[in-house]
Order: sequence, then C-alpha cells, then structure tokens
Amino acid sequence: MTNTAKNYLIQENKVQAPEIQTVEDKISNTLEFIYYDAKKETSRYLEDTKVEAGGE
Amino acid sequence: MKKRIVGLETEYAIRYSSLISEKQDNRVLYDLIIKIIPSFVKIADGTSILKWKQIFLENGSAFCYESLPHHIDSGLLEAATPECTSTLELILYQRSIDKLLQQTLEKLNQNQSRLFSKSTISLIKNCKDAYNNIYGAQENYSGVIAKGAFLFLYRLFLIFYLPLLAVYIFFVFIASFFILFFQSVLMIFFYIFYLIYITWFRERNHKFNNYEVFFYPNHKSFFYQFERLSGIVLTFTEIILSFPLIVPYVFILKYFTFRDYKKHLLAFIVTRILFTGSGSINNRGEFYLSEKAMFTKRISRTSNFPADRCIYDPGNLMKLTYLSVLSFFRFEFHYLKELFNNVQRFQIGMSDSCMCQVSELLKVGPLYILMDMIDEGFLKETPQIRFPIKTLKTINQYPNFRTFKIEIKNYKKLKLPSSLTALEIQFWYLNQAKEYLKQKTILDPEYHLIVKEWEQTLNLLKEEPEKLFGKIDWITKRILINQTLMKEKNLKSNNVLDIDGITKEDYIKHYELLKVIDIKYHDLYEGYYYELEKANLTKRFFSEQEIEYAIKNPPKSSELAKIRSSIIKRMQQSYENIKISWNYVKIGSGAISKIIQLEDFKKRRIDT
Repeated sequence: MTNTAKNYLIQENKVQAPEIQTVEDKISNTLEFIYYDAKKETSRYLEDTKVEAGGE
Repeated sequence: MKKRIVGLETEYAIRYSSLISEKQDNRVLYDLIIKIIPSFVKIADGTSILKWKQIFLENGSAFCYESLPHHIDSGLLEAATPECTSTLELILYQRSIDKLLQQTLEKLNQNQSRLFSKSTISLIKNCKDAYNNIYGAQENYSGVIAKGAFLFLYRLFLIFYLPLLAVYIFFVFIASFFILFFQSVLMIFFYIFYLIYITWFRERNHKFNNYEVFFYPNHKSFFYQFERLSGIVLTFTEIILSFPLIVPYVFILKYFTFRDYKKHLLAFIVTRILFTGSGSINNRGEFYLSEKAMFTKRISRTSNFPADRCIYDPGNLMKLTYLSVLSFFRFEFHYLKELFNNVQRFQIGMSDSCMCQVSELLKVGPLYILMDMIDEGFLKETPQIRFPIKTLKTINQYPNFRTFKIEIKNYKKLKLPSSLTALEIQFWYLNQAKEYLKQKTILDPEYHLIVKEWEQTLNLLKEEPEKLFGKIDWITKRILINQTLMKEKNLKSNNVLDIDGITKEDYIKHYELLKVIDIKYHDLYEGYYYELEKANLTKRFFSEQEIEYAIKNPPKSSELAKIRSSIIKRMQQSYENIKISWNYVKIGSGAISKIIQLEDFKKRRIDT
C-alpha cells in the first residue's frame, strides 16, 4: 500500500490516522488498507507472479 | 556429537509488473537485484558448479539463480542462510535476508533504468503461484546419516556406485557435446536462412519486418523458443538416461539413511502444518493450511523428476555424490571426503516459506529439540501413522484438522487411543519434549522459549485460533481473506478476526480478488504481511537493530560462517582471484588454483 493510498483513505474518513488508533482500530484499518489495495490489483498481478516451473 | 547445524534455503519468485513492457527474462531481473546488493553489504563469487551465478554475502549467507533447463528464463532467486547452531539465530538470519532483499528492491524500484521505467520488480516469498507451480523452502539439519550395519552397507554401496556414476557422467558429457553441436549447427542454419529471408522478402511480408521478433529475448523470439526446446530435450534425455542409475541410489537413500529421524519425526512433520502452513486457496473454493502439503506425493524421493515432491528430500546427498565425481575429474577430492562423513545434511522438502516469525520458529525449533531427543535415545517409540500422505492431504484441507481422527499403528505400545486428531499428536510430542527438558535438566533458555511458544500455540489452536492472527501464517491469511469477502459483500462483521462463516461459493465467486491477497501477502515490496508488521500486529522476536546487525555480521554460533565472513570482508583489499564455498575457498583458477578448507583456516589461525 502506497502512502498516497493511505492518505486518501484517511482524508476520506474511511480510516483513522495511525497515531489515534486502538488495537482493534489498527486491525480494522489495516484490513481496510489491504482490501482497498487488493481491489486495485487485477489478474495481471497473478500473471506477473507466475513462475512457470519451480526450481528446488 | 557436536551441536547440530541448521540452515534454511528459500526460493523467492521474481515479479515483474509493467504497464508498458512485456514479461522480462528472470536472469536479467536477478542480475539487476544482485548488482544492487554490494551497495549494502560486501559480496564474493561462489565456486559451486551446480549453483548458477552464486554469490556469498559478508554475513555468511548465499544467493543464486535457480531454474530448470527448459524454463531457464523464469527461474527463482534462492537464498541460503549461514549455518547456525541456534534456531533463534537462524530465524534472525532468515529475517536479515528478507530485510536485505527488501532494501534492495526499494533502491532498485527507485532508480530504474530507461529499459525498466514504469515497472516494479519484486520478490515473493511463498511456495506456490496462482497456477500451481511449486517451489519454496527447504530445511537442513545436520544429523548422523546411519549407524552400524546400515552405515557399513551405505558406504559399501557408494564404493561400487561411484565408478559407475563416473562412467555415466563421461558418456553424458560426450552425448551433451553432440547435442550442443547439433543445436549450434541448427542455429547457424536458421540464422543464415532468416537473414536471406528478411533481405529478399522483407518488403513483401510486413508481418516479419521487425528484427526484435527474432533477436530480442522475449517470449515470442525464435531464440527463446529454441532455447526452451533445447532445454526440454536435454532435461528429458538426462532423466531417461540416468533413470537406471538413480533408482537403486534413491532406494538406498530411502531405506539406509537417517532411519531413526524419518521414523520418529514423520507424525510430527505431517501434523506440524497446523502452525507452519502459510495457507492457500484454490479455484474450487477450498482453503488449505499448507502450500507444500497440497502437492506432496510421497514420504521420500523415488526419482530425480523435479515434480517428485516429498517430505524427506535426499536431493542434497544426490547432488553431493554427483559433485564428488565431477570434482574427481578435476583432481579435487574434498567433496568425496565430505560424502563419506558420518554426519550429513538431513533435508526436509515439505516446508512452507513462513512470513510470521512464530510460524518460522516453530518450523525449526521443535524439530531441532526432537532430533536431539532421538540422538540421545529419549524418543524410542513414537506414534506411527497408518496412511501418512493420505492423512496429510486430509488434515491440510480446512477445517478437517479439528475433527479428523488419524489412525495410529502402534497405539497399544504407546497406551494411546487407536486414533488421534492432529492436535492430539502435537500435544503428545510437546509433552515428550517437556519431559525431556525436565529429566535432562536442560537450562538453555532457547529450548524453554521454543517449548513455551509451542504449547501456547497448540492451546490457542484448540480454543481460540483467531488469537494467532499475526503469529501463524495460515490463520492470518484466512482472516485477511474472510474480511475482504465481508467488505466485498458489504456485510458488517462483529468480530474483525472471524475465522469462519464464509461459504465455498463466496470463495469461488471472488476467487481472483482473494488470490491476489493470497499471493501479495508474501510480496517483499509493499506486501500485506509487512503492512501488518508496520501496524505492529505481528509478533516479533528481534528488533530492527538486531536484524540490521545480522545483515553485515556472521552468526555468533557458527565458526565456519565467521571464517567465511572474515575472508569476504578482507577480500576487498586482495587482488587474488578468490572464490568462496560453504566449506572451502578456491584461490586462483585452472591448473594453479589452490583449495583451502575453512576448517584449516581455523586451525592455522589465519582468521583474525
């Protein structure tokens, strides 16, 4: 998650700034960040992480 | 026996995301990453014949490029920790490698050349991509390879086997020479043909008016396809030709080596996925605890096929045997000497790459203690699972581990019920370890920390698994996935750590989004695990300062790593051609090269 995305979420009042969070808030807000970020990614991310053949 | 040496090998998938260009050759991306590393630490070239582009770092760890011959462009970055005799220290060094790679990626992505502008290069520390390709981690523990008659027969077999292998390698070299010669002739023929074609017919056919289609190393190029085809031919020729030679060897390795460890640790390793699994979903809406367990086919390797996934992997011994013969041709005998050592690397292939430090500690810590218990004859009778692989597959699928009863063959001897759950088997091993610490009055705080973490984790798995969020990977990932689904469906969740309540149909419907979370959780550059770490939602054993120190300094518990590190640090002032290995250094090249064992450096007190 980029700082721009985080600032956007804070500005939009979707989450609270880190310094005023409780533990529950922290979990909830981090999950919100992750959800927001994952929504931006597409199947291209899965394609980009394709290995084709594992080594080992 | 000396204190046990332990080490981790981790394969990182290379990610290249770009809005403007196509997928790049991973060899190029690996080189870009490696070029940045000297701006953080001192490095030296490795000597290994089998490890391509290997480098050693000043803390004693190593990186190399790992690939299969027919997918040489889509290989992985493999990192190996320095050898440690403390499991806590081992976790610290694994973290230091992750941290160094993170710093490298940040620098690389900030200062990209024109060729890679508007793109992101990253590494994924997991074991399975979205297309079910498997790679990942391996664990290595030093242990007694065999005792008594089994050791004698194993060595006797080697004495007869090595000359046969030497003859085989000689003929493979000749065959490879002819195959490569044939390939080169074909390449030259196609090259001349193509030059004639584009010179005479280029204007008529606009489809082939771009030289790059032919020469540029992308997936459409002729060279790329030719290289891949050659790789397939070479790989399968090698596998088929070596099959009659490999089968008796894997049989000997399976039945003659590490017998006690294999027997007494199997039930533990099958059920430890409860806390070592990194979690994975598939497109059928199923959630699995362990990525590696999904594709594990047998207990021990039975062939040299790359897809022969197993729990105990003697691949390292096979490589050592191969190296012994190769080095023999070069009049170097150190590998041969190493092959006949009584203490060898016991390698666990079914090992997930862990992000959570608790998962990683519990991956190596309890096993380390159990191996000590086996060596000392404390564990003479352990639960023997009737169908180990079938059991592994069953408990791996969530939520079977809670209720599935595992049949125990020797339950009467152990005075146990005829079947136990995976958690009950883990509690059995835990109680044995606690008894061992008590009876042997072991005061080492590390052992007590491991047992305490193990006990706490098992108790929470039984009662409140959601409290292991940030400590155990599969639980953390499952909660991230479930919460994403709740948000996607606009549902309000009363419990932010809800581990259940999602249906298979939901998983299938939103598979792509959830799979992104599954994979990006392991991304070293802007990955989700590190988001949790930044928010202080994970349990950590080490401070940032300790990790930074470990990036530049060898482990205190390893003499060999200290010597290796000392040589790498001093090499910067040397003009000699020096190459490093795990056990020796090679000075000079060709006929005038000299090999010095690291142990000898210690004896000669060259190390400062």
